[in-house]
Amino acid sequence: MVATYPRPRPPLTKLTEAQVARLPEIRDEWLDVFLGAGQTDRGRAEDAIVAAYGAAGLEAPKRFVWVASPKEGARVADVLARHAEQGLPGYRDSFAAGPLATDRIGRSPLVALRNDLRSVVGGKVIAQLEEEVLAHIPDHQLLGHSWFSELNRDFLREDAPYGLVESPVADEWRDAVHQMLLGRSGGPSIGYAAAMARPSAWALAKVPAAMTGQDGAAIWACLAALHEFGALDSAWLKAQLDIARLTSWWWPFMQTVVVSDRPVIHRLDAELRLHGGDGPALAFADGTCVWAWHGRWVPADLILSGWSADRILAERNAEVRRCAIEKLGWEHFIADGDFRQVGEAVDDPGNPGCTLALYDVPAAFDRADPIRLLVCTNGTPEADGSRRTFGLTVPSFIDDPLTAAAWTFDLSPAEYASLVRAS
Amino acid sequence: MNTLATLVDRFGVDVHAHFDGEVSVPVHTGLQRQGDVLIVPRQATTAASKRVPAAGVPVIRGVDGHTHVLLADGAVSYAEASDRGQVLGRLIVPEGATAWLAHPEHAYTGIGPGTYEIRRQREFRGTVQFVAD
Repeated sequence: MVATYPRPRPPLTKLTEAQVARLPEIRDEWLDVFLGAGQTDRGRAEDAIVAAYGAAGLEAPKRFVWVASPKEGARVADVLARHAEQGLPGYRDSFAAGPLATDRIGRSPLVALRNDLRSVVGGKVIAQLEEEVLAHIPDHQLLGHSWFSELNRDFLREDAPYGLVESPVADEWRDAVHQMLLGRSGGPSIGYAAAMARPSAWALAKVPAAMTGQDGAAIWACLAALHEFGALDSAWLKAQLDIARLTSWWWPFMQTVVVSDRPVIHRLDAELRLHGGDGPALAFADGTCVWAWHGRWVPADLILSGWSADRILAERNAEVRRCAIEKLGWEHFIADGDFRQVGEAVDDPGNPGCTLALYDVPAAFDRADPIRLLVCTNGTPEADGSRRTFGLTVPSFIDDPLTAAAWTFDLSPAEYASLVRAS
Repeated sequence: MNTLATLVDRFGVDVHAHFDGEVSVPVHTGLQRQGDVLIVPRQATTAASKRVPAAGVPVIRGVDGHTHVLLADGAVSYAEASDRGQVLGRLIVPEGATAWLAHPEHAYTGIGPGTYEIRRQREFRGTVQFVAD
């Protein structure tokens, strides 16, 4: 059994000044890797993948299958994995890839590396890496919501619970993959689009475990730092770092590797959340898109054309509704929505120049219980002439804005009115 | 005097560029609001509280990544509430001390000697939900 990495070097319990100075540089370098978009160097990526197989004690893969997006990659990998498990009749040659090898190429060596790390690298150094590097590189999977799961949702049958249905592979899809693997189609995207013309014919049972490439940048950055500082010396790690710099998700089988190109668009906001205010936040060459507003999933038309107040009021998902209102702007939402004002507007206590007003909202907004809208508007306009406006929903038994504001903090209106300073 | 710039310098919690650093930040003992967090003068309770360290204590982490941080000038102590309700915690500012609440979008709020509840804001969407700044 070939060891996946040689022994690490002497313990690293304290970083030198020079090493500490390198941390922000390493962080920035890997943030660029995470965001990396555009044409990928497939030759170099394949070399790095071959090196990873060698370092893991496996023979070099015989075939590389390049796809335009992880979504497409998942489908190809799913077909190959099923064939490896069950044998799909009629396509034996083109589908022969051997069993999925993610555990041997990725998970096992990584777990072993990290376990060994704990005995070599001091807690203080780990904490520094976490604070200076890990915390500053997003991992879309750790945001409590895998963008990858979201992408796969289009392919669910309406009557099937997400991720739980086993179903036969649709003939059209299997044919499309077969054509692609034989190199006969015009390219993977064409067969893909044809097969997807009837999405109800396909149900995603499970996605074969993938290597996440650039998406794992946060962890790779920390390991790259330790590699640079001499705490780790591993051919496997070096190959993985090279791969992560070049690809998006990839699926290693024993004899075949399915690899996705990097996205063509990848945009974050200032807080490093997926965000595209005027277009897709994430897009791949085959047209796969993710539409996001400050880290939340939204439908494409919310971004592309924006929603009217009526459309917003009809939306059942409160988070999406909030994104739509933010994009439209509270000021426009109030004006467009033609809400009836309740009671008189008053000064916001402790906040000179701001006005509080209460509005009635049609029952459609929240079918469960009727609500009213408390809106606070700045007296002074911003540089672009707009006025900062913010809204909150309150129960409909409240009749005036001061009581509404007090309710939001569970205070009496009299006490709330005594507010000295607000900011 | 406690100008915004000297507070940022001293405590390290930075604020958005549009704030005027030369403005002096007042210290009050009455009801104050910072965004969606309210500082409410209230009698002390017997809740065990901890001294607020130099690095500060996060009072509430916003979903969007911004945190209201409680900072201390003197022997200020804070007891985080154990349930996840509207009261986030209880603050004790002894004579001669000052507490500061800081947030990148709301600058600094000065809290003078007294005992307080720190509350978060709620809204209503069929059921009560707490606002995330």
